[in-house]
Amino acid sequence: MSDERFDQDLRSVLQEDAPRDVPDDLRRRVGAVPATHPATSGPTRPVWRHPVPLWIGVVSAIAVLLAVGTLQFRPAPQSSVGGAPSSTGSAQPSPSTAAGANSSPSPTPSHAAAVTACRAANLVGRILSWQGAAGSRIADVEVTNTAAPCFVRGTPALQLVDASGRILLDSATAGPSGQPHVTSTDPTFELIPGAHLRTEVQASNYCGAAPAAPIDIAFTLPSGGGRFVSRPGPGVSSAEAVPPCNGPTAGHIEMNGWRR
Amino acid sequence: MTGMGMLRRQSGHPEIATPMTRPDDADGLAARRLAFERLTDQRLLRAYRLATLVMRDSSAAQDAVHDAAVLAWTRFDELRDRSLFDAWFDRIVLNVCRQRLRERRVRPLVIDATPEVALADGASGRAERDVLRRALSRLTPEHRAVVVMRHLEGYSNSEIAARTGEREGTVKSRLHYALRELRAAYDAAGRGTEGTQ
Repeated sequence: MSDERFDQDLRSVLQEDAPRDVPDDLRRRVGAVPATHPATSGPTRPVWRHPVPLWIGVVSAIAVLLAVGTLQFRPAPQSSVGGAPSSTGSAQPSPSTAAGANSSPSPTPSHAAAVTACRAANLVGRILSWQGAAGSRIADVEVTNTAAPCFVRGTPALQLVDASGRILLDSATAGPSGQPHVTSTDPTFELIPGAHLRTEVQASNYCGAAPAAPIDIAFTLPSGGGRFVSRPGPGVSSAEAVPPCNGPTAGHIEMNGWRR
Repeated sequence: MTGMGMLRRQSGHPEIATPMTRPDDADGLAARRLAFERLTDQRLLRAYRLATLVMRDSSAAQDAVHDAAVLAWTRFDELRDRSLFDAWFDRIVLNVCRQRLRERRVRPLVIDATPEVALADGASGRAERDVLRRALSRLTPEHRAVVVMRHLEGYSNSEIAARTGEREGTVKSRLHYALRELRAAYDAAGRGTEGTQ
């Protein structure tokens, strides 16, 4: 085939795949950078900070305790930092929360309390879109924390589930890598209430009976964090959700690492 | 540039001082902000396009461009010649993209399928472009970046070198290997299509 046609097709592919406009959200975020970041050398990645400085929280907590004269303790959830065997120590979310991380029973109303692993019951997942590609389907998923500050770390197990609850694809069938797990190099993402994480889930090779729409994606968190189901967001169709049957090999479902 | 000369530095403007700046630096900061906003605004679409094609993921590209803008702003004072902003900002965008792709514990999603599936759709030109698209997604981010900058943006080797921080020889070599890989996939698709027609 001619060089000219190759060049032309390559340019066509790049032009087709290149975005034509800057999303409004990105334009807003970039436009806000000079007003919200100091013009000095600093960290390249945004770091979540407590809305109230730590020392104010600590002082307030002590003052409340002294005034009331009673302590109200709440046992830490099972999946707190100390409860996750493989994430102990390195899972300290940030210096700003480290002060309370060693005390498992902590005073309830204080920012000094340890940030614990997010529980599935407090997370809401939403499928933002499905992209169809030859042989596989990719979902863009957003997970939002609906409760107190907590952190997400590691890789959950994934299931593609239809409306009747039937599991179409299950990452756990792929062996240990498909089970919920945390490794020492996994980043920790702190989530304040309302904050969210994103990921992409790729599913391929489903050869079973026709599933019932809508199609959901279930996440089972590491360290016994529980299971939550991400449902399609408003206007998101499940028409592109079920991957085609590619042959007799096992179906597959996996995700990219979490990101903000 | 952007009328910065008209903004003369003056002392003592507490009303426009922020926690990030000393009062006597307020006008300078305002001018820098204005210059930065204009430069990034002009560059944003191309930076976003580059990031999207390198990362193969538009939402990840948005995050990368935002992070690059934060980094560029924190280092804006280091850029002596602002006429070099475009190449300087592209370089930061590419570095952030590379860093983010490295941080992904699971490999980047590769839209993949067997050639047979792609070629069975009939239209030969489309099949070849689909194959090309998949071959692009299999390239390393560094190779993809040089292909995008040459074949979409039309930059010369020296311009690409300025944007990647590599030597021209390295750029040339990356282009050669990337195009060789793309061409091989493209030619194979063409042969497959001819066989099915």
